[in-house]
Amino acid sequence: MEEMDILKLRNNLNKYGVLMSFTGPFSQGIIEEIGDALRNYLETKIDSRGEIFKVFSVFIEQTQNIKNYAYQLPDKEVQEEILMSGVLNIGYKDEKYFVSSGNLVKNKDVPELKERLEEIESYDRRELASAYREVLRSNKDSDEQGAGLGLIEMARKASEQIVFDFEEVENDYSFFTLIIRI
Amino acid sequence: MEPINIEATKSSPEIKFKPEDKVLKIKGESYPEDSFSFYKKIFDLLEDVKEEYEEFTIEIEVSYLNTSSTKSFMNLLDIAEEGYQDGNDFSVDWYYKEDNEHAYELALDFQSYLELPFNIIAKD
Repeated sequence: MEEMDILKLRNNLNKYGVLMSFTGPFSQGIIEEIGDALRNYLETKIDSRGEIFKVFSVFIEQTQNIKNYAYQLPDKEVQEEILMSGVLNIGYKDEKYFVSSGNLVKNKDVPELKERLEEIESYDRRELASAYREVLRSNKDSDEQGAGLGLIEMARKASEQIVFDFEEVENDYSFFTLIIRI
Repeated sequence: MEPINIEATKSSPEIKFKPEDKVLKIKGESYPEDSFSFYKKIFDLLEDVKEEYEEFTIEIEVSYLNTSSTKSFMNLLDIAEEGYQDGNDFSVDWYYKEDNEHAYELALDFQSYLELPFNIIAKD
């Protein structure tokens, strides 16, 4: 059996500026704990509470998006598989904080998500604000867990274009990657 | 009406309501697992308030809301707005710490969607 090369893994994380990395199923408890660790760290680096909440907010939306996506799928095994596939990184590179995440998505869900992301990517600040308003003011009686508002919120907090990618991996799945630089 | 006394957790705010005060206070951070279930009780309370009270204040001091909590806040502010539109003296006082743009921008967003008196108050 080939042993895992931890040094190589660490060097790779360093190369991309990763400060914290987590893989596996995100429970609410884990999200809260990592969130605390992130904020404690950021408080030593950033003075403004607003800036800290920007990074924190992107972290929360990314992790909760993965969870919400998994839980709205009917099949328990599929849910598990998607939750297990989650990867989340928080880092600092070229003087900017970033939050990147990856998870499996069902191939059939790719076109709609991709279209939504391309739409958001094309918006300027003003269009993002009005898209935010539109989604917030719609379905107001339901707790629509769709990634709608979360994705727009992340794009509003981003200081650069959002980066995303879909790569077909196995059976019915693609691996979805999202990178937000704040 | 029954009083409400919910203690804060890491991801959910403290919520207090005493019928005799005619004030609902929400304080803390909000990013619970399921915000709609968490706030259900407050939606119901505000529906009753709308029917029974002529004056009412919602005091909000939240430093952080995730997007699904933002949706829940929109719901509850919309109920208060309906009460205001019915001619009642309903208002919102939103407190935020001066260096927290996140909380300030949320307040500005909500304020722009509503006609009821919505005071945004900075604290040190």
